[in-house]
Amino acid sequence: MKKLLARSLIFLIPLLVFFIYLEVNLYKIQNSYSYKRQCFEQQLDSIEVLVLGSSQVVYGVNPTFFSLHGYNLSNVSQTLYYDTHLTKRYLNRMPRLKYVIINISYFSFGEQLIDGREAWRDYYYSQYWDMNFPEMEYLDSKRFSKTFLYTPLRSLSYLLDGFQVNLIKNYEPSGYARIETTEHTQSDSTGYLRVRTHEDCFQERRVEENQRDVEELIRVLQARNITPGIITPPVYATYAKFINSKKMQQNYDRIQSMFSSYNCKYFNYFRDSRFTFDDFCDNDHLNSTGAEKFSRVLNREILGGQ
Amino acid sequence: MLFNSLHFLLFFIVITAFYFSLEHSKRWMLLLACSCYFYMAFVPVYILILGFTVVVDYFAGILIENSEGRRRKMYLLSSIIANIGVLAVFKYYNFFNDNFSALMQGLGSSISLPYLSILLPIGLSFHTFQAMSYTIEVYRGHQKAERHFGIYSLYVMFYPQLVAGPIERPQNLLPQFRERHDFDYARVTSGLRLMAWGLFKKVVIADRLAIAVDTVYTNPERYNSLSLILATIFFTYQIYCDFSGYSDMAIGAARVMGFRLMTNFNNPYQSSSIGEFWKHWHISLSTWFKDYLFITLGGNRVPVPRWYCNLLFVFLVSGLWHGANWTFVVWGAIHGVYLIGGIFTFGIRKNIKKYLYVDKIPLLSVMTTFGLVAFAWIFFRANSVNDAIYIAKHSITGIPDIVHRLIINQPIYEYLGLSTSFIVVMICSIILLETVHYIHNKFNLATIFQKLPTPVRWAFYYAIVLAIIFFGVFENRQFIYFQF
Repeated sequence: MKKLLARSLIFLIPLLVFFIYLEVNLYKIQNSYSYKRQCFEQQLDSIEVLVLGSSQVVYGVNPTFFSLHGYNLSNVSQTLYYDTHLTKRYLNRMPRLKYVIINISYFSFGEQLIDGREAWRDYYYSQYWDMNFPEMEYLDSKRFSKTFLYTPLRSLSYLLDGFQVNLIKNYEPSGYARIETTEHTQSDSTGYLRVRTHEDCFQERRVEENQRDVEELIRVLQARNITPGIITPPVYATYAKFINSKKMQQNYDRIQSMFSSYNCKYFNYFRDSRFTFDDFCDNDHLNSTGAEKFSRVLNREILGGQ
Repeated sequence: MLFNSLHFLLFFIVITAFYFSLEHSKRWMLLLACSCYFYMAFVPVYILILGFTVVVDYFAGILIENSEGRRRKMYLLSSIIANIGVLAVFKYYNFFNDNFSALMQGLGSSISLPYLSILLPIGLSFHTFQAMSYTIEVYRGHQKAERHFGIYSLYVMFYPQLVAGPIERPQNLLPQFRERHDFDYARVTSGLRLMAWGLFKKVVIADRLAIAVDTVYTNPERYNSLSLILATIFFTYQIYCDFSGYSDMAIGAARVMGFRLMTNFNNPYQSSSIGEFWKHWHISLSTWFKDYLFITLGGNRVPVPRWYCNLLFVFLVSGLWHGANWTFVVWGAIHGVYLIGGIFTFGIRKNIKKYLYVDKIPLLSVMTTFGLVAFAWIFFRANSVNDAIYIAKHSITGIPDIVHRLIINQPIYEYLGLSTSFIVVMICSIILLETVHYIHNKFNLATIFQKLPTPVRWAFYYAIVLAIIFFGVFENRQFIYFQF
């Protein structure tokens, strides 16, 4: 036994040294999660408008066009669970908060990261926001190691690049991520696939818990005289045409019945004709031109600005 | 708890260290407790189902041994009915229900049975079959009934092979729980090596291939013929690496503690006939069916038509054992037909091969067998029989298009949605796997390893550990056979 232990130790030492080196250097890399938290915590005292949601909001709402000080706390594939729990956690530290814009898309009510291909994002929230989704595997290497969080192969590529990688190049201190106006990739085929991907994320069994989370968030906000505004962001026609109209109607009905009891306003921009081909970078994401237009619309229609 | 998880790594290190530090007489308690923990890591309440099987078969074994004549047979039948009953309720009830409802609808009736909304207990078919092999062996007088309840429970629940086999026989496994296993450096390192190789097959090959296979098999209508063929070949290796990887880890983990589990796979894709394939694929299950079903039905010592019927029946049951879906039944039927066809045409094929001199090219038989096995896997993997028929049909009808694309020098894999580098890595992994198998067949790899100088051996170890870490997929993907 002693021989095995001694040899295992000798065998493991170079591996351990290598991994500690990798972990230390990966720790220093900023990503959208660490950067957003850092910027958010620096601005807590002055935030008046908080924007929550997924990628449609990350790339679609630029708070610099608000007449109030806003922060875009959304992130790619961020679910209602994280919207709710992140907001609740920081609510006491945002004394000037007046509005919270909550994005509810076609598929939001049925989505939890853990069910789908983006389950790895749960571990980013665990490592960078100290927030653990209850169903997450406790003993998962992605919870404790940056190498496994980024995936070992990608970590290796970062090592080969001397850890000189920029994962936040599009992100701005307001939490908004800019996509240049020259990018347009919308088409029928990609639109169809995009809708299918979103429909695959939708799990009927998740609807109740997501509804519960949003209702709780609204109650907490209203108790503090903060106005919640529910939005469904615009999508391009190549996305909208493939939507299952029955499911969409169910979603609207759910939103309407939920929020009418809380006297909460719902702003549906899903098929808004003000947003044209040039405003989108793909089927369901706005580019920087569209983001400016959408942010001004939100400022006018929800925040009461000019 | 999955073998390819951090949870298992910690569990295994702690349990093995405890195991060797405990005195021999108490080790069964540790193994039983940690086997319960291992099983309860999936769905804790299902331990009760396992407990039911253990209690029923423990007493059935003793009662069978203590009785004679019809009573003896009655106890065996009661035990088998209890075991099959558990399988029927938890695994087949909803399948039966769906088909019953469809039949009733077809007859214009709206009668339907209530739907049972339960998760399938993990590895149910494995431990049920292992438990059944005990009572059958006691009945046949090949095994004495085990009086020690703890040791018997451990026979059914021994954690390395609890959820996906190998399905052990009592004669092999039960006595080992009473053997004294001292720490043996060579044996422990050999077990660890086998575990590492199994993990490599699972996370580097199977789980990477799964990415491509899942993409294509989820929406086969979106993919062209070559994508369908590639995905099927990838699945052929995925299922092998997934399941044999699990078996290697199970055998390796048991070996570390001094237990010898039976070999479950022996280079099945290098078989030159379907009959040979089944001697090398999932050996513990195929021998189970041979020993307890095929021979009970009369085996091949019956008139030829009956022999064929026996074969087909065994393969249909084997298909159904894998899952409550028509896809598995069709898969079993295809293998049954292959085998019967093989026996029926043996003489003719032999003469044709001789006439065409192809009997001198064994690789041809290997490739034909591989093709037939891969074709059957389509039905095993597809989400429905309709999907499987679509894939099978379009894999063949699209071949002229592939040839045309090759002629006009157009990329032929574009629709698979994978990069060239991904396909190259996958093909290299498969070549590596077959090369290792080939070398292992010709020379004993373990002996070669032992003779290598330590630095060279360690270089191999580092290579495999780093390959697992950097090329492995760590998304806690379940082993395919867990669902059975």
